[in-house]
Amino acid sequence: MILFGISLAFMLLFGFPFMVTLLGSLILYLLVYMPEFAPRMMVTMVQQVIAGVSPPALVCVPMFILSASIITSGESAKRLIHMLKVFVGHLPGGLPITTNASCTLFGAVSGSTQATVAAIGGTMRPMLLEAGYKSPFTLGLIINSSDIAFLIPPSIGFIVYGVATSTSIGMLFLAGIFPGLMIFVMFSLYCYVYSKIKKIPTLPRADWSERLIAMRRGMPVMGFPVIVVGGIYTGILSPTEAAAAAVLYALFLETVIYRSLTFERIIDAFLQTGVITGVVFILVGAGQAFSFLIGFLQIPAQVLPPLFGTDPSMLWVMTIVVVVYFVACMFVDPIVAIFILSPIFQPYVVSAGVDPILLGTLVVLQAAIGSATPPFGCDIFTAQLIFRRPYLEVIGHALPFLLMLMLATVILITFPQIALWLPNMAMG
Amino acid sequence: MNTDSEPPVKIGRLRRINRTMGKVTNAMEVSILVTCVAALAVLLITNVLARTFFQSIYFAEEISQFLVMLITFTGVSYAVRKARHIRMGAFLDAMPPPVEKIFIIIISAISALVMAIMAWASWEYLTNAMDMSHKTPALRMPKWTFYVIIPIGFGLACLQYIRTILKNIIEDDPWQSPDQQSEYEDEEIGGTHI
Repeated sequence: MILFGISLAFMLLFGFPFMVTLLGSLILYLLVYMPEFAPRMMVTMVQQVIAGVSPPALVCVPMFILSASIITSGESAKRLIHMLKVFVGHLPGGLPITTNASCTLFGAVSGSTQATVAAIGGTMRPMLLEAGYKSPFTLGLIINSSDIAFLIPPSIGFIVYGVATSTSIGMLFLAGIFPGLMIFVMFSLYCYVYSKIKKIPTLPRADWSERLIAMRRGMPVMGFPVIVVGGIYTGILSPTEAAAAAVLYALFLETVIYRSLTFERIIDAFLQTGVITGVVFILVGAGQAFSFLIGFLQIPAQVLPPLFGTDPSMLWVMTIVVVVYFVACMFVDPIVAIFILSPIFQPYVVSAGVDPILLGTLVVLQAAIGSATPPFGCDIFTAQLIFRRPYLEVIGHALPFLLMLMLATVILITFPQIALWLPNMAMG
Repeated sequence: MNTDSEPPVKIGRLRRINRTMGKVTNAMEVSILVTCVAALAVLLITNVLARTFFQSIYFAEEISQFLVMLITFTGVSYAVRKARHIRMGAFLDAMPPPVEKIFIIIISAISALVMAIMAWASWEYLTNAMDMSHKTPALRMPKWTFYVIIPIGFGLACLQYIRTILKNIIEDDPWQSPDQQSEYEDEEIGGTHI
């Protein structure tokens, strides 16, 4: 066990790809502790990897990634930002609020944090800097706002959680909407206060003719949330069908309406989708092999009872889950953390009386927070890669956002109806 | 999609081997990825339309799973080539280049070994599946056809890690992968790349 832990930690810290970290630690464990069965167990590992990538529900992931690739290489993001800017730009904190709102809406379009950081952050950061906001503030804002995308459907976090625990992905999607909007409101208030205190000049108010033009140009982008959320809420579309519809709409929007896509860009979108799918799915597969071994060695039965104590209260159970996921996601990719931890915790936690949908929402919220939190949150590295800024500058303004997100977690645990209201309505 | 970004100087044997391996695998990987993602999109969109107006395509789920397998395991190897696999690079990036280079070589060697073991294990799995001669429920295809790509994908990933080692021996600067220099200099990041 100890060797297993050390090899995991070592490979993680020294920059091994997560895929190799997971599979390599497993192989090492098998070779050292059960050498006579190792070859057969490795074949079983392959079987588990296949089982991990096989669930039909996962087919929607490449399709959501594809629609995101198509619209990030097109016009949608720019038009969306412009539409929001003419409405709120003249308020104190107008530009950061625009960033924030764009990220929330773009999350509803793309379902991917990385895509959101690239598409919205790339456009908004120069504007924010020019308006007089400090660089660490802009980076903290972009990273944390993009994490709202994790809660807004279609979210890969919810899909992976749903597959790992057999929870309804459609219901999880619906449950994420209001917590996501709540965080959006908190961030916006903060931006308002921040720019009042720092006395950052506001933009001139746009007049209504300008607003109407911007609305006409940007409104078609709003078709995405209508298709995905509307389709799933009414039960017309399954998540996979919603994803296919989103791809169709993205192609229609960018080729017919905005005329921004060339043939080469579409091919590139296909290629990028293939790469990202491979990267995500091999982690899901390796995660499945990993949790198979954890289950095989009966680790949950050894670890969980001392962790939770005898007869734990619901509040205590939720607190532990929140802390575990938060810490895990500070170090590893949220997809890996969700996929490995959820089968361990979910049965225990649900049997303690926590609603599985609420649990999923809390877990994905923690994944979002953890991946934006220093030292190793993976969005920090995404932002570093995209904006090419030093590490300390990227994390310079992380604390206020972290505190707000923790507050959001407390609110969500206290008032679970924020998450559960919409899925309950949909189920009637 | 630049196949080889290295300058045409000092063409030694290592470099030539490395480059030939790169070109052949690149063409294969790119065409599989593009074709499969496009096919998956067409299939699923057609299925939504078919379900709305007629009835669902009965083999859609099976084919989409087949395509997902192809995409996943081809993507694994292509992502190694482009250094796109998710990793925690904070310490590695902070190292001075000569140390970083040594670490990349060690990491690539261990990764190549892990990928080779996975390729072997999935080959075993494939041959077992061939012996069992199970058929898929909808199309009555032999089940093992789904698994052919797995040893190939892991095998190619192993090859890419070996190419990374070769690249680091040939060049002076540290390289993350055969196509990707350490500083992320030639990767175009922005709207088109996520």
